[in-house]
Amino acid sequence: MLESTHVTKRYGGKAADDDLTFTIKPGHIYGLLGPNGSGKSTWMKIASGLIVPDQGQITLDGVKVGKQTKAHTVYMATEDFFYPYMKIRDVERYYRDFFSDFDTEKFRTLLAELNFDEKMKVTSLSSGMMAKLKIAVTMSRRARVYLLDEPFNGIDLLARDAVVKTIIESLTDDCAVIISSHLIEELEKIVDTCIFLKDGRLILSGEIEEIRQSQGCSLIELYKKLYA
Amino acid sequence: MLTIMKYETIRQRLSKFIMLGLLAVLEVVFLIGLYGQLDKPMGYAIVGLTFLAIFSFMYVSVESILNYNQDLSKKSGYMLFMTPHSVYEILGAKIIHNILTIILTALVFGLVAFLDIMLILLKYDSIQYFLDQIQQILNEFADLNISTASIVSTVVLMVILWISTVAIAFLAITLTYTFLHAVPAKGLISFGIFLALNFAYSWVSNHLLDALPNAYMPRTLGAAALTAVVAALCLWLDGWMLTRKLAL
Amino acid sequence: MEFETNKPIYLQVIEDIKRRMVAGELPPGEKLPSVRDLAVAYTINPNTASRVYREMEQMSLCFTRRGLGTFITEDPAVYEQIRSGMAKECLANFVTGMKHLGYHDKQAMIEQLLAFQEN
Repeated sequence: MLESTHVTKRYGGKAADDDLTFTIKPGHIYGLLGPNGSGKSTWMKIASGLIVPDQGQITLDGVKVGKQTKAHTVYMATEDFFYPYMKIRDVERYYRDFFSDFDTEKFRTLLAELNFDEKMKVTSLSSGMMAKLKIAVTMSRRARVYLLDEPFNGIDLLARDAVVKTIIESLTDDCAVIISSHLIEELEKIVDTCIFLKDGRLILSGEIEEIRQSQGCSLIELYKKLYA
Repeated sequence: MLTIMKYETIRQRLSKFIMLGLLAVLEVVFLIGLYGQLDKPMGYAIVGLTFLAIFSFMYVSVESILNYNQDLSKKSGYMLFMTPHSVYEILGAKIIHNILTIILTALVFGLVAFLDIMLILLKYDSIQYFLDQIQQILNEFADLNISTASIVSTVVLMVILWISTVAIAFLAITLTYTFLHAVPAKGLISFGIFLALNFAYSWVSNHLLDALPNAYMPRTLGAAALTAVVAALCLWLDGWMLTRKLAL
Repeated sequence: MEFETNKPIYLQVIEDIKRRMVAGELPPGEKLPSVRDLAVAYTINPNTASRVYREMEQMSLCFTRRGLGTFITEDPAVYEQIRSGMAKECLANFVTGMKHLGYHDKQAMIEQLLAFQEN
């Protein structure tokens, strides 16, 4: 569904992404793993059309990433990205206006579950609330590919749980979720395929259970082995 | 693209409310002064309205540039750039929105000024005679042909040329966040480039306008054409730079 | 539920379901949650959740009726098997533990057990 072919991106002489080639299939939750600076965010931004690669390309259902594919991919940045002037209902209106695949019903349901009031200003939200709002708005888009960049950074356990549950509930057979993280523990349960990056290069990929068996260790131990 | 312009408007609504609010207040004071025969309040109102007009015009131009700077430097830029539009559409929408806002602001204040002058003329017939006197004096002194038409033309010309300045400012900012991204003192450098480009532009526009017949219609059209070319060029360059080199 | 990192997740979920079966929480024929609901309940990947049911069906612990869902087996013998299997594991742990403490023969172990039961 999403094909990354020899994707390379350089920043000032150094390759952030180096010849990345792999396939993303629908119906799976992928873990894009590696320490900070291994090229995860860069690849995600290329996949969502925010950055153009220097070499190679990413295609979604055969279409090269660009204006058209942006309507079917969603990128959730690590940082808080809402406009400071917005209240939650402004956020809803914004997404509804720009994205035809935005499911307003689902968003409202999620907001209710997570105890949000649409009149709240986004600047008044705690980090846990902000994380929940981001995931709610992201997963309310019925996209083909969800790219979540370090979604668990800096949020408390309960918020993390809420985020994880929202992700699990949203997986269907036509879409794929790619979660990048340097925190393995959070991902081990919910990810079924993992892609390990190191210095922008792909060093290992495959289904978690198979890797666990063939390597004979847990994901955490494997991570330590690969990056020590 | 219309949606992008819609949200640019929403984003800038606060300043517009303040401007319109001040305009309303000053206009009311002016009217009270005019019809209540109170010269002092009327005078203050006129001065206030003039300053408000100039300041609003400047601010409105700069606001879009500041917003653009925010879009490229802050994470809220993601909201904008992830929408299913090409970079050219996004930029185009912002620049068109800015131009429309500038024109609209000029129109609103122009209409208010026109209305107020008409009201004054209606109330004080003698003013027209007074204005004609001034015109004659100026004619004798500096051989200037200052009529209402020429003032309007000059203002229109200034607005058109100002739009080019805004387009160049956008370019300078795009440069800061793309090619100069990793350069220290990038703000200063891009400001320097902004000034340099403006000088170049002034040089070109002056020579171009001098080559045209010294009448307002050709000059206005000439300036409009030059601005359109400059704005289009800047837009194209911005889009190219952002596509290749944006580091959000 | 907290998961151990060295055992496959689907196996750990199956163990938990078996535990709940012998504890009486899942009587014979009880309807199990959908794959999606199971995934959310255990906070696991939906593909892992569907693997849980697949493996359980292989082990004859449950069966699927198209369009109706997945149900716990109606065969009480299966419950007995699980119970005795888990009991054996408990006992094996007990014996190993006691041996490590120095109680090597059956009699000593039984004495300790009876004394414990009194209190």
